[in-house]
Amino acid sequence: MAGVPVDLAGRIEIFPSAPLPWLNEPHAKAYAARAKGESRSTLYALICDEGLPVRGEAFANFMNSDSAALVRFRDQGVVYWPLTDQAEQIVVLSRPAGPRLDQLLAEPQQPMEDQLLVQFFVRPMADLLIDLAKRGLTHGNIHPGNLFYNTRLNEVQAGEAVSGPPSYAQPLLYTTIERGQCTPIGRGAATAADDLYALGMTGLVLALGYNPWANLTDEELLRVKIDRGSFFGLVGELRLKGSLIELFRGLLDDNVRRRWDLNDLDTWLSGRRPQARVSENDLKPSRGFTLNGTDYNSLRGLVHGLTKEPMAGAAVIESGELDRWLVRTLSSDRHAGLLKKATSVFLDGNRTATFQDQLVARAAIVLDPQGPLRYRGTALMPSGAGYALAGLMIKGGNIQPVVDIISSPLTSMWVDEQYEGRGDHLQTQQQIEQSRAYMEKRTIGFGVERVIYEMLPAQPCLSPLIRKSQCRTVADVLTALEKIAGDNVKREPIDRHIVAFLMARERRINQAMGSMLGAPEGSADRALGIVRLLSDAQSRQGPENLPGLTNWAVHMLEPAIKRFHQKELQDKVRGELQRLGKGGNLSALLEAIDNPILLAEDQQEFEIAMQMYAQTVKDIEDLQADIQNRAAVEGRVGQPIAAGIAAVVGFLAIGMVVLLSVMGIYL
Amino acid sequence: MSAEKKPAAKPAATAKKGAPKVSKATRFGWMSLFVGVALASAFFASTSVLLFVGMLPTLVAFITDRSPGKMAALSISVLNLAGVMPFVINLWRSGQGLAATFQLLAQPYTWLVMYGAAGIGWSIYHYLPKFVATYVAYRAQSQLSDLQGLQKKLLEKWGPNVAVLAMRNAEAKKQS
Repeated sequence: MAGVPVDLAGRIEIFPSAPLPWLNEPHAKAYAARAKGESRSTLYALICDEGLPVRGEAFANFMNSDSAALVRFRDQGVVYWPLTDQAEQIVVLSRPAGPRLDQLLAEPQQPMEDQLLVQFFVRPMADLLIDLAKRGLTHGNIHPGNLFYNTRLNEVQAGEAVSGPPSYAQPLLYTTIERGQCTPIGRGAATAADDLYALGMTGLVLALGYNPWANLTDEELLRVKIDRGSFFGLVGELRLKGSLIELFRGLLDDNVRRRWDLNDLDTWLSGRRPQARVSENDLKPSRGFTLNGTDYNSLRGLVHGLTKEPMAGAAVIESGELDRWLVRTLSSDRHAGLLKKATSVFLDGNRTATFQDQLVARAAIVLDPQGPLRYRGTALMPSGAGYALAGLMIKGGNIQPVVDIISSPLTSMWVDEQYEGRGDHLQTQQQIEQSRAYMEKRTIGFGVERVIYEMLPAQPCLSPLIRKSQCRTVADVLTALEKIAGDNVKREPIDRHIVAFLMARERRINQAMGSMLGAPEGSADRALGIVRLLSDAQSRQGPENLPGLTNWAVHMLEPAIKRFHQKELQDKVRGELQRLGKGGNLSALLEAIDNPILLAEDQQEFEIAMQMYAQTVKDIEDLQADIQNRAAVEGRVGQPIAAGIAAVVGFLAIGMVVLLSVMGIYL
Repeated sequence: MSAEKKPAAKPAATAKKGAPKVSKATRFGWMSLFVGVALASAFFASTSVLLFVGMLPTLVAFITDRSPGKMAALSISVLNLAGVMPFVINLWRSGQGLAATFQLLAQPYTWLVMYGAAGIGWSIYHYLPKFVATYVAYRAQSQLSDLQGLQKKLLEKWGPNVAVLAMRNAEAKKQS
């Protein structure tokens, strides 16, 4: 293998000089790789797009899967990548044993026989989904472009699903309506039902031997699916074999309550007919609703239209036009009641600048509960909020709509309207509630940044200071700061991202530290807060020796040194810190500077010194007055002394006269 | 109307309050002195004449000395008395007649001793304070450099904050 390999933790060698374009993902480039010690390259590494959050937290679970229908997840990590001259997140996988199915489908193929389709595709995929479900996983990226033809086993093998946000690269044809309506980065974690839908759609394309809808745009595809249903709308006049019709109808049902689950698929594969699922039939309006010149012939379609044009949507809600259509044309008092319940309180309240968007978002939740949260041009599943937030932040996009979604009660409303069988939404709600609490706290360590790291456990730190290092752990952050320490001593080694990241990844760090870090930049409190945070992180997870960062901290601690009043003591502490700085232990630094007994003694002595100084000033004033005003001194001091001396002399003289006269001597 | 008149009454009250009060004890003292002098003049006329004439510098000093404590009068009076005392003793020894008094007063030596002693008292009062003031100034100069040295040491040890905060505290204390 040519070129110098890049080493991944001593386990894997990756070859930047050996790209594998056929294994590229839309958001990740593939390069040849091999396990250390092996002579042949049987692996490939995906270099993840720096601009996208990855699904790193799921990697370990994927790696544990031994399903033959899934490429082997071998390793993951962060490496210095010479082609971009920065650290990159990578995923290492076993090379699939054949080409991608979409390469095979580039030219129309003969329709696949029922038995062959089941053996080649349906059964391996069903087994994979069951295996993943046992591990609490879903795939989220099933489509012909991410399925490989395993020539050895003559069956398909699913590709990876972790190098980007969930379902980010899944073409809209293979997503359910609701996930298709989402901004791709905000689709969130897929459910088994979503994977089964993708399985059904992929199976349908394979059964047909080609993709008949390749020429339709995403919006056209969505419109067909919404208006006529995924199965009936897309299959239409196409000819399908009877035995497969039941499978595709079951898997491509747009109503998640009626869609087959894994048990139903397993039952069908064992040759039995799955139990029919009873659910409310989709309502068909007797006449369409016209919004801004476009006719909508289904409730779901109309809601989609309302959210695309919130101004017009809000107008028809406010005017009662939508309510009348629901009652008279759709004949659904239930929907009219839900709309009223969701919007009446809001309509009576104060009108803000986002009134129309919020009104339409509320209406959309109750009228199309299966759909995503749609607000101000952003559509996402609550579980995708973290990915959307991180993605927008990395690319410098407008995060406000996502922030608003998390901060508002929309998410709770959405969860309340969900199908009770989907327990994962409760977990999402808890996560959103927690995120809202973090968002409400504006101090450093909380806010949007904290929400990102809480929602995405594998998200590297996005601090501009260390972003290029792709830090995924507390130790990574400290190591990255150590590397940049020399050039940056004049600025602080933290920002909102670093603090939020450290607090999210190390729960034992004192969460109340945020208030200390909120002190003004350059103050002693802030410097101490920073060193306390970093030393806490180092003592719990970080490398033992961080001389660069410790030296950085010494520079930063100058205001804290000045808390000592005595200059000699300041010099002593400064010298001690500089000595400890070379040792690389932040806790030792903290112990030296944050000594309450020494501080109290110094303060006490300083107060005495202040009193002494004030006294000297007063004494000097008095003395100068004495020097300058001698007449006053004469009067105040000299005259009493003179009078005293005169009196003493006088009385002595009188005494002497009396004595002499007694002795018979007269003057 | 009544409200307008009321404040006018106040200055009168304060003026009454501000007037120097002569204490009962002082009044009694002066009365006793007056009675004593009157009795002494009646019983010891010759001595009284001698004392009156001899102690005239003291009397003048008491009248002219406006300084608190009347230090000049005090300085002159005791020495003046010391100058008069030998002649009072002589007078008593010669039988206390007015003639003897006038005989004594007729001698320049008597005047020289009585008023010379008073002059010595005045000289002490006049020259000694200047000497004392010179000494105090000399000593203050030395103390001043000691205090400035102490300030320098405090500044060296504690930095300029010790002065700034000390003065700020003193100012705050003064204002409060």
